Amino acid sequence: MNPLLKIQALSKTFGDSLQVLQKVSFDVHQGEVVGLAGTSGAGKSVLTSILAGFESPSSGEIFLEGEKLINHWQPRELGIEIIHQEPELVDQLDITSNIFLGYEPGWPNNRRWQVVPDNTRMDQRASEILEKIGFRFPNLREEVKNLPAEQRQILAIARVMTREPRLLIIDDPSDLLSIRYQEKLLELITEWRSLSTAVIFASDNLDHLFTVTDRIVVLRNGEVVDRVKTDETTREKLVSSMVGTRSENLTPAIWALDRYYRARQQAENLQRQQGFLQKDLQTQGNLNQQLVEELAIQVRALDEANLSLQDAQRRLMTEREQERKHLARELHDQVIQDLLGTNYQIEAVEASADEELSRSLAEIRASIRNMVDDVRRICGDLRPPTIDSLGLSAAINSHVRDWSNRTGIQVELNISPKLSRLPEAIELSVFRIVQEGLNNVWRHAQAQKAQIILEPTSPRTLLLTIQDDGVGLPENFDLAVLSAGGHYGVLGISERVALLGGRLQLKNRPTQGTTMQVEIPHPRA
Amino acid sequence: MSETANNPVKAGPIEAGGGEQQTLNEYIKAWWDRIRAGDLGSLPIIIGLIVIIGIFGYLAIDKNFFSARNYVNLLLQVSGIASIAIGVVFVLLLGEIDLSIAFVGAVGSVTMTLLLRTGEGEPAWPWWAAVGAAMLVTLAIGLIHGVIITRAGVPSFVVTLAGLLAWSGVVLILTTQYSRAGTIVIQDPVVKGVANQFLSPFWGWAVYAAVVVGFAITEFYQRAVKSRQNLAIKPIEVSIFQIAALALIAGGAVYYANQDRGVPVSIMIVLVFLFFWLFVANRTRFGRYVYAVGGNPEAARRAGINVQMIRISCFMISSFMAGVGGIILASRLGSVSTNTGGGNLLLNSIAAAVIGGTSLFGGTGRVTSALLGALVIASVENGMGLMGWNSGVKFVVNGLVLLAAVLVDAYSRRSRASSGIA
Repeated sequence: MNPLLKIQALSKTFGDSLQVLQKVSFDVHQGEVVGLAGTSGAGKSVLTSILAGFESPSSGEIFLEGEKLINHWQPRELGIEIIHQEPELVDQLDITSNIFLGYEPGWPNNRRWQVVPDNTRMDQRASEILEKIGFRFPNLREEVKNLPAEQRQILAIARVMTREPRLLIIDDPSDLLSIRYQEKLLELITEWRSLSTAVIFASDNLDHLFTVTDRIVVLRNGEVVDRVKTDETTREKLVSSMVGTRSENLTPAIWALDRYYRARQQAENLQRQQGFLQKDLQTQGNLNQQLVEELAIQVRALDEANLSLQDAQRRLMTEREQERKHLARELHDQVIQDLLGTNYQIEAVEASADEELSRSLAEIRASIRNMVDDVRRICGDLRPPTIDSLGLSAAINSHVRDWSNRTGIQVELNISPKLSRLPEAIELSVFRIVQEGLNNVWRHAQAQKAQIILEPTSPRTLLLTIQDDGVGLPENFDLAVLSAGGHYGVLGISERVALLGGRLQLKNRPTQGTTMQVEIPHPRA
Repeated sequence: MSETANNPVKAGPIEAGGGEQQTLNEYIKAWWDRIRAGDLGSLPIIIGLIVIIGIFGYLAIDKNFFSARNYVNLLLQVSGIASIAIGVVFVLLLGEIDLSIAFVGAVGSVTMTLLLRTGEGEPAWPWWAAVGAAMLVTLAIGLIHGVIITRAGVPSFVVTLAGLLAWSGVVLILTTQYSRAGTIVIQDPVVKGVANQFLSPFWGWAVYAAVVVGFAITEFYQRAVKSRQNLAIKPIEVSIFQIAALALIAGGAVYYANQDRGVPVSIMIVLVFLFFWLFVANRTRFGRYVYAVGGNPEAARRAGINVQMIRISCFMISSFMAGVGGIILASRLGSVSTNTGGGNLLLNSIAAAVIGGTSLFGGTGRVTSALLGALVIASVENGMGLMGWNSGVKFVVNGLVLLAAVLVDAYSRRSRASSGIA
């Protein structure tokens, strides 16, 4: 399918040297929400105002449905609507007039020459639209100069809703909106998406980006540094590509806002410094750049190799699960039934036997019953029977109860009720991770108590925490050393997490014991 | 932004309740709040008019200031200034200015007069063709001004100042070329009749009845529409009061004019144009865009309005209405001369629009303000004329009136800003 909007090598330079956009290229397809992420100063606003025709690019091209846009086009004539960071309204006109400004329906009812605006129709339509946003003005004839900023922004959103745009450009208006209307805006974006409008959504709010976007294009210092599918990334990865540093010790639960905003400040400082550095770099010539480019090529090749390795592993794991499922069914349907059958036969024989024989037969029957129990447990370990029918939380619940009975370690289980059904592969993996994690607690930790927390941290990520009050990790704990020593438990977990594109962290708790945290992205539920 | 509850606008999330019908008390209170907050509307100009009429009524009572004859003269004086001022309002609404109007009007009236002249074997044009040609000339001048201002991005002040000089030269060239004395008499009876003919009492009352009934019907139709839409409606008492006030004031005006020669045709022409431009400004897309461009050009541009087209059109309207005013003034004198368009016509016309309450900063003002402002200007001129003051004093008084109007505007703007509604 041809893209609705094609942006090709767009650059923008102010003055001689202030380069705010560098060869930005990406496509937007119909019915797709493309997020534009980046810290402030990354070039989001400049990019949106170029797309809106307010600024002309220094170089590069923009195509709308294959047609090249010439500088200073009027976006609304092309079916492009824009919501700006700050609304531009005419103070002297009333609410309805501002909502319909530029495209008033009226009389005569002809597309071009609606000379006399139909106030009745406009008011009705305006209150319908505002109702949809969830806002009501007592008097639509009120001049907008009296309105507070949030209400002005609501009008700007309402203006977009008077028309059916092909492409909607939203330059994060949420600074002026309270949470209630921010969420409304996200709902509206999802609705536009379902009406196959293309949406470009520039924002630095991760929650918003993860809630509505299909893809995210990350801008940093005016360059596209990353293009990801929203389903396949985590908040942390996104942040690290937004701010351009890879920090290993972000704690998953708190890193979100605090670190992000600090990082944002740092990024701004860095950017300023980078401006000076860039000048030096330019005078130094292209030598460094060549090196960097070569390195980039190698890194890309490595990445590709890694990807195919991961793919193979994923296939292996799926096959293993299939095999296990098969094996579990076989054991259950065949071996257990056979054992039970044998048991009945023995029972029949027992009736006609003398006392001594029947006592030893009873012993045999008891041991057969034990075997059946054992085999059942093996079946359960191979393939949790509840996971297919009742879902992840039920499966974890029953497994934990069993395990707790078996090991005598108390487990406090805390599964967020907000958790809904997820794709099979993810549910299974989480279950396996819980299994492995508990095994580790039992085998190595010498713990009395353990705690499992499973909760969604954002609309598209899941956080699993397993804590215990045991001896904790050895001082120089290293995954590589563990695998050399034959401890495959943690290694298996880390492989699974990596395959899902998630993140694993193991560390000692401040007082006593160990914490394992796993964060996993998952597609729209 | 959580203070929506404390907000006087009473707007809010949808469950916060809707608009109710206002009671009379609420309406009066809301009106008084607006006045106190500095949103004065036409109030200062009406008070000013009453004060001026009072002063001159006191000073010139023995010089027949209140006579029916003087009243009809006043209406004739108002017509020319008012029609030029109507055009100026459109330019002021954009936040621009047009200094060339007096001489553009003169170019129009001279063109018309020359075409109506019978000389050297060529026949005179019929009056409608001559008037039409004059209107086209003024429209073309407005187009030229507008195009230069928008395309070259030169301030309108400079371009129309150049226009002022150039078109005054054109008037001089035309009038001296066709008449050694520099005065050309208008011979056409229809054109002469514009400012010298009066409606008979019957027609005067017929027009009066049509206007009052028309106003009442529009008022009640709008109420019906609003109530069908569940919008806030002003109390019925206010509507009735407004209709009654119009009936009373207009009735008095017609009655008093009929005591003398009757309602002048020229004021009827001005009223027709007033209603037309009122409709254009308040009811059409074009009018809406004029306010939008004047209020916030960037917002207008982003909304998809062709800002340059609106600007050019407003300069054309300004020139066109200047032409109409020029013809009315020429008709009143019965001739055009080298002096046509000179004197304080330009400043009087712009002052009329500003005194009427049209802001020089664009975006606010009403077309009706041109008529009210012209009434003030004409009353002062008329009163001072009766008193026989010399022109030095006249200029000083005119200046003070204009200054007072601008100060009232500035102060009300400031108190609007401090009360948070600017």
